[in-house]
Amino acid sequence: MQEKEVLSESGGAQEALESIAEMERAALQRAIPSPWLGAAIALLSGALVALSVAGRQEFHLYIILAMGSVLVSESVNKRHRKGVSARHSPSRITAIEGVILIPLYFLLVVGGQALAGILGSLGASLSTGVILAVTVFAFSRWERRWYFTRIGVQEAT
Amino acid sequence: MSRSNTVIHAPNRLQICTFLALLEEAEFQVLRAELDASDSALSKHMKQLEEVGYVKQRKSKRGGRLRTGACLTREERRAFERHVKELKRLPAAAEVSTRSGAY
Repeated sequence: MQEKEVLSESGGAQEALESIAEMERAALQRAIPSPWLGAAIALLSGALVALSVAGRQEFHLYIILAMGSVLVSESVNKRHRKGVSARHSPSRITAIEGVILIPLYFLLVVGGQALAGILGSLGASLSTGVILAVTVFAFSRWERRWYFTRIGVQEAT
Repeated sequence: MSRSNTVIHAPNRLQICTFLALLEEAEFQVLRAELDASDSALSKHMKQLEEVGYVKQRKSKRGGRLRTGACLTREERRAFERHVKELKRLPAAAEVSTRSGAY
């Protein structure tokens, strides 16, 4: 009797799990970050580290404000075009990115200042800016790929 | 489904909760399109979910039109995660039960 109960419940559960998977795909499809978001944040992060290495911290506020504007415009755009708001709480991917990118930022600032003697101030700030920008952009691509993998479709190139 | 939550186990309500669990908020029209449900059917499910405190609905004006957005509460997200865990446990339990019955 108990075995029959478990089997009939499991049939219903299997159906429910299939419908959950279908809706998860639909929700993720609407939550995928725009391709330009990663590029914009990568450029601004690169600019932030380049300015730090060059000792121009007075421009940081503008870069941070620009980052905020990019994130707000992405959120507004998603709401208008897809009718949803993505979750604000950090995902596992965001946490991994933070753990790598925050120390990398400080490492690049210190490394860039040390390199300024060899490459010159402009060369050091540009090279550290490019390194951070490329890393951030790579992470953004990885995050988009994670969404596409979960949805089960190939990203259009 | 003994221990699982009966309110969110109904197919359409389960789909609503799944969709909202991965997002901060979704518009009523989007839910209706994804569920392929009528306005009245979706309203009924949303009302039931709202009554038990699972869903919060917010009305906002955008482009001169009144839009209704829905989101899950933090407690509901946890309840939903527990519910999904319970669902995943059942097919595994059935497999064990079938295997033990075969021997």
